[in-house]
Amino acid sequence: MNKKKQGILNHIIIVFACLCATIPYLLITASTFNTSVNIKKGDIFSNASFQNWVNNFSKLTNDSNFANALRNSIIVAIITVFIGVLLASLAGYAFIVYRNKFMDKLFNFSFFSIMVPSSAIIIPLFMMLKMFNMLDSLFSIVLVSLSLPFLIYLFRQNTKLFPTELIKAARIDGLNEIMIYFKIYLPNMKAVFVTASLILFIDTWNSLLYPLVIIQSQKNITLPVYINSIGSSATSDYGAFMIALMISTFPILLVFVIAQRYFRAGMKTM
Amino acid sequence: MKLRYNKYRFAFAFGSLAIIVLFTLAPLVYSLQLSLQSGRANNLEFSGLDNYRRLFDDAIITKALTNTIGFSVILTPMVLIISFLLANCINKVRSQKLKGFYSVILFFPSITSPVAYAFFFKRLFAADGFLNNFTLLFNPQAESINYLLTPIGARIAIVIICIWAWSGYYTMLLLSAMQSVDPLVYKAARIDGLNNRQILRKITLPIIKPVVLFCSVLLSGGIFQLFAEIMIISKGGPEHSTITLAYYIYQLCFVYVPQFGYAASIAILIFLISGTIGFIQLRLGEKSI
Repeated sequence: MNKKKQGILNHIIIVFACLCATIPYLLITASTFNTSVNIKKGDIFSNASFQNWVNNFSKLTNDSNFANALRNSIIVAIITVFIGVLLASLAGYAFIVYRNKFMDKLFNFSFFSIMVPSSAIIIPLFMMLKMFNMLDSLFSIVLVSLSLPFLIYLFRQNTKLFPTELIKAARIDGLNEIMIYFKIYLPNMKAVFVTASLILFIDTWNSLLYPLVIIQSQKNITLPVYINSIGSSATSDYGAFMIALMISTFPILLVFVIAQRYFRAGMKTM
Repeated sequence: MKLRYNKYRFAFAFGSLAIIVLFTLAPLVYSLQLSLQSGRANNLEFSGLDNYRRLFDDAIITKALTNTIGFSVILTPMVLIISFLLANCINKVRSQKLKGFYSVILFFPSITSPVAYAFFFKRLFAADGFLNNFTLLFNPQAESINYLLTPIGARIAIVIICIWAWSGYYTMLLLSAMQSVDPLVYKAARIDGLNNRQILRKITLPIIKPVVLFCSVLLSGGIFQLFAEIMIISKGGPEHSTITLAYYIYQLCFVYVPQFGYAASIAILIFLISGTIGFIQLRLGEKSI
C-alpha cells in the first residue's frame, strides 16, 4: 500500500515537472492563433481562430529578412554539425585507438579548453576575424561554433567502450585505418554520432552571441538574431513574432523527437 | 608495430586540435595581449597593467562579480538537486515507454531557443504580463507590478528562467548515469536489507558521483556564459542588479564606443575565475573518487 502511494506521488511530481517544462511553448503556440492586439493585451484564448494563424503566418513570411534568417540558420547548423562531428569523432577515436602518453596529453589539453568560456574569447575572436576580413560571413560562425572540446570528450568516453577486437580483426582483413573508421567504427557508434550531432545542432541553432557579434548585414543574420531584433523593437507585430518564436523551436523539436531513441543511448556513457 | 600508426595518430587528431588552437587558444593569448592596451575604438596603445588596476576601481565589475557568484551559488545546487530528484523519480517508473516519454518532455526546455524562452518569460513577468493578469483574477484590486524593474525581482526572474531552462538537461545526464547501474546491484542490496534511502546514499550516489561532478563543472561554466537571457530580459539592469561579466564585456565592446583593451582584461578575469572553479571541482572529484 505504502509503495503504491509512493508510486503515485512519484508520477504526480514528474507530471508537474513536465507541465512546467512545456507550458511556455504551449502558450506561445496558443497565442499564434490570436490577433496581435489581443496578444499584446495578454488575452490569448478568446477569439482564437485558424484565420488569425494564417494572417500572422503570412505577415511573418512577407518579411524577407525572416526567410533569409531561416535559411542561414539551417545552412550554418548543418555545416557546423557535419564538420564538428567529423573532426571530433576522428580525434576521439585517435585518442583511444592510438592511445599513448602523448595522446593523453593532447586530450588533456583539449579537455581543459572546455573551461575557456566563449565570453572570454569573443573580443579577440571578433578582432581576429576583422583582421582577416572574415566578419559578416556564415562560415566564420561555423568555425567558432564547432565546440570541439566537449564533443571530443563525448567521443573519447564512448570509444573507451568500443571493442578493440573489431579493429584488430578488420586490420587482419586488410582494411586500412581510414576504412576501419568509416566501415567499422562509424556504423557501430551510430548512437554517439546521433547524440553529438543533436547537441551541436541545438547549440548552433540557438546561439545568439556569436552571430550577433560576427554578422553585420541583414542578409546574413540567423534566426536568433532576427528574433532578438524584432522582439526588441516596439513597433513589431506580436502575432508574427509569436509565429517566429514557435518556428524557431520547431525544427529542433522535430529532429529531437526523431532521434531521441539514439540520443538516450548515446548519453548513457557520458 | 606502434610506429606504423603514427601518421594516422596525428592525421586523425590534427583537424580538431588545429581548430582548438586557432579559435580558442590563440584568442585567449590575444586577449592577454589586448588587456595590456587601452584606448577607445581602434586607437589602442600599450598601457601596462592600467586595465587591471581599473578593474579594482570599477563598481560595475564588483556588481557583475557578486551577481555571477550569487547566481552560481544559488543555481548550481538548485539545478543539481532538482535534476537529481527528478532523475530519481523517473528512474523509479517501471514502464520503459513512460520513462522515455517523461524524459523527452523534461528535456524540452533545453532544446528551446534561449531567445524564444527569454522573450516568453519577459512577457510573463511584465506589468501587463501573464503573472499580473493571474493575480488580478484572485485579487482585482491588486496593483500590477513589473517584476523586472525591481532589482530583486529581476534577479529572481533570471534564477527561475535558468532553473527552468537547464534542469531537464541535467536530469537526463543524471538519469543516464543512474540507468547505467546494473539492476542486479540493487537486487543484491535489497536482499542485504538496505532500504530505499540507504540504497540511494550508499549505491546510487557514489556511482553517479563523477557525473554529478561533470554536471557541476558544466553548470558553473554555463553561468559564466549567461548572455542571451540577460540581454533580452534585463539588459543587465535595473541598477546593474543582473549584469554579468559576459554581458558587461558585450556592453563595453558593442553597445557603447568600444573599449576592447579593458574588455579583454575582464575576459582574462572570467577565464581565471572559471578556470579556478573548474580546477577545484576536478581536484575535489579526484580526491573523493
